[in-house]
Amino acid sequence: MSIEFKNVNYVYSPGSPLEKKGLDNINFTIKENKFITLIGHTGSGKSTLMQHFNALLKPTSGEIKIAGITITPQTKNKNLKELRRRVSLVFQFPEAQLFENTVIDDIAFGPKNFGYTDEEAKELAGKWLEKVGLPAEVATKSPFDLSGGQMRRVAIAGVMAYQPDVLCLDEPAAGLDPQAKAQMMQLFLDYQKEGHTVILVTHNMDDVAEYADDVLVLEHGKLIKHGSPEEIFSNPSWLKEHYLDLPTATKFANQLTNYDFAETPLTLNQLVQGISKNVKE
Amino acid sequence: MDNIISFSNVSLTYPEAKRPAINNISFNIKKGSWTAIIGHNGSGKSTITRLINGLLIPDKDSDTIIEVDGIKLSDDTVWQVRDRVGIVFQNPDNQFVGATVADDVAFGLENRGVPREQMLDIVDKSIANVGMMEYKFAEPSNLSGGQKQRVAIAGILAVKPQIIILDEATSMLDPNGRKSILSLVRKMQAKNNLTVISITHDIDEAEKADDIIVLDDGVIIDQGAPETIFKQADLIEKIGLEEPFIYRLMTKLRENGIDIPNKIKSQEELLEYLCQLNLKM
Amino acid sequence: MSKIIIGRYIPGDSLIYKMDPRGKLLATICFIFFIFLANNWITYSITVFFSIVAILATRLRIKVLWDGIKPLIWLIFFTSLLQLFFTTGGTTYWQWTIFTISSYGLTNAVYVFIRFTLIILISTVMTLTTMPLEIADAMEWLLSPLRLIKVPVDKIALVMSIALRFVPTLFDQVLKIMNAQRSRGADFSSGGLIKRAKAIAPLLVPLFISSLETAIDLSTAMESRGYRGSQGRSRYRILKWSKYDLYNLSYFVLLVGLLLVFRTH
Repeated sequence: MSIEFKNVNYVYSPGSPLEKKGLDNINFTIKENKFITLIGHTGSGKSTLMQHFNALLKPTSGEIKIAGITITPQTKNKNLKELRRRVSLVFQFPEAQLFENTVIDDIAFGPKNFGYTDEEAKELAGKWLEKVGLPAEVATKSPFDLSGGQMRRVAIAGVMAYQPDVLCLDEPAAGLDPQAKAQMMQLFLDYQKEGHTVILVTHNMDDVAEYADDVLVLEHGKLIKHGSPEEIFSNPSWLKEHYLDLPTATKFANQLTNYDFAETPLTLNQLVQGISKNVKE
Repeated sequence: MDNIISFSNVSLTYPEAKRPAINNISFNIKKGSWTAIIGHNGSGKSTITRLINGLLIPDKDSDTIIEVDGIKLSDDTVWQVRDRVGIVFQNPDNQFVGATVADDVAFGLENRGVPREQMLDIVDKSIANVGMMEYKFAEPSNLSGGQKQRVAIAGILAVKPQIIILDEATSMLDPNGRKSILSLVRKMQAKNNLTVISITHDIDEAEKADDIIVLDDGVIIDQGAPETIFKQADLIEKIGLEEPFIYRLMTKLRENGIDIPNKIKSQEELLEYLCQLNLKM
Repeated sequence: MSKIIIGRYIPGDSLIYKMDPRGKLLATICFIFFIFLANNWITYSITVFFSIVAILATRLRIKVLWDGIKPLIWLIFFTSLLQLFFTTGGTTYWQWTIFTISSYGLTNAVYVFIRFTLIILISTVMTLTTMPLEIADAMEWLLSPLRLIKVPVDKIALVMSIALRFVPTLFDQVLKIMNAQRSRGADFSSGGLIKRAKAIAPLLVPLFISSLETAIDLSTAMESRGYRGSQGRSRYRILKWSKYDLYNLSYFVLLVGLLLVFRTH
């Protein structure tokens, strides 16, 4: 199965003086069960696109196929529950969505909404509490007594607990310290390897290089490029033209003027291998 | 160089907390320097900023002294100290007091009773200094996070402080916003001979500081130049941070049998060395 | 959420925009009182004429003004109908149990309708042409005599301006939390009253927490930027009277004068 966008347009406040094009004729097909990254500047339409994945926004025109469900401008709000169970979004700073008295109840909120019984929901919640790396004793605590980083984990557990087919995350590691971030990225990578689609909205090109199978680049509501990280980062002048950064390793490699890399290194490991090859030959 | 800030034997215990957030710390910060305070979330970094300008009062102890620009901090001097210290906080929205850019920049001046005629002039100059003149009458809801942080900086510079503290001021910005804020502060530091203290877990930012203070669970575990701090991989690991890119690269290269001299401590030096190395072969 | 009247300022540069907010606020308040001077066809016609001229002077599209009245239209009709059916006197045209339609009732209904509509129109003219912040400034000026009896007018004004400044931030926050909870399967729009009331907790709790955080952050920022109460503060934003306010005043005095001359004594 695949995620398909066909001629998708979205217009904010149509007919009013504030009318603004959010998405401009977006077309792409991506295979599911991949790690996908979505990049572009603030205001490029990333978050508008993301909200189309589970029909928080419906296209003004065009058609979307995702997780076996089709979304059109005519899609009724009533029929969205199944879509939202299969496709879930994690917004930036998701700790802002916590509200229950206890951590376990908060994680169980989503599963309960999507038809699990109370016991099942609690059981899932307990399991995911552990998976996101929190100790079991926080289950009965108020989420508001936790540290910011722990709250973030609770919020993410609350979305992963009903195991959506497609998990879309907007800068999930923003503001976390590097070790917490690395753990979290590993969690998403494992989830993808288990057979789910992960879509990561990010500004961090190192993450794109490290994790992505497929990259979507947005600018002014248009999809300006779609390809593998190798394809995206192989053209520094094109990136510069669109004010996009290169991964740190690539930038470094490009400054090693008298080195010859068979393939442009995107990650630290590739860079080390490339340097070794050059030096030892 | 003179010290502009000195802490000796300072502790702080929040009400109802079991352990002190800051435990008997002493340090000096040199005038005109750029000091980075690093540590994981909850290590007490932000508590220090609030102690510097008297937003928090240290635990009572006869040995405790906080001195800012030669003034010993006390109830009587707290407003003098606040005239000398400007803080840019993390959340761009929550520190924007005024209804428009101009109003916000004027806020600090109004508080100090600066006559209106002078204020008009200072406000314009400060806004121009941070490159926001075309937004002078803009409301905060129409500005990006980076633009709001620029306004915050303008508002601080308007009252001519000696010290500017960036309290994770770039952690909620995208990479372009982050870069532009840091280069703006660098420019302002040179122009106005400011002392900058940057609380951060952006390690690449800390690497460019003159001096680094490493905090762990409310205790200073090291203070020194970036190269002496980042050489200690175990120390960086212990506080939950990641070494800067070039240090990770050097470690990996050494693991791959490429000899990298210990004296190398910047990206430029490493690039030069590696290029040389490839020539010899 | 877009139907909120407050802060529905529409930028423009016609005559009305150039007037001082204090004058506009005062004129609006006085208008609400002086309209009661009108008590016959002539005086009502004069008031209608003056109001139409004022509305035209804004150079705003009529639709925008209509949007201002629309939410209240049923209330206006209802009040007029009460007048129509319950006023007695003059010639009685129709009667049924307690309901009467009389010539007095008919006139009164029309008068009430005109009065109500004009008051709303004129208030809308004020809010459409004056930034909320300016209205807050004008209110501070209007309240300033209360300083004499130790009312902290400056503080109230600061609170008002900060509250206005955070309205858009709050709306953003509501939208964000709603989207997040919807993604977790929350449903804000269906079910009975109790179900809907329950559905609101996932929205209200986070909103309350984030507002509290904002308030704490804001007070920390204000204090570190040297705010220590209103004593000794100077002001950046000031209001200045201009010739346009003289137009405003003369226009208003002319209206009141005409009403006084032509009203039935």
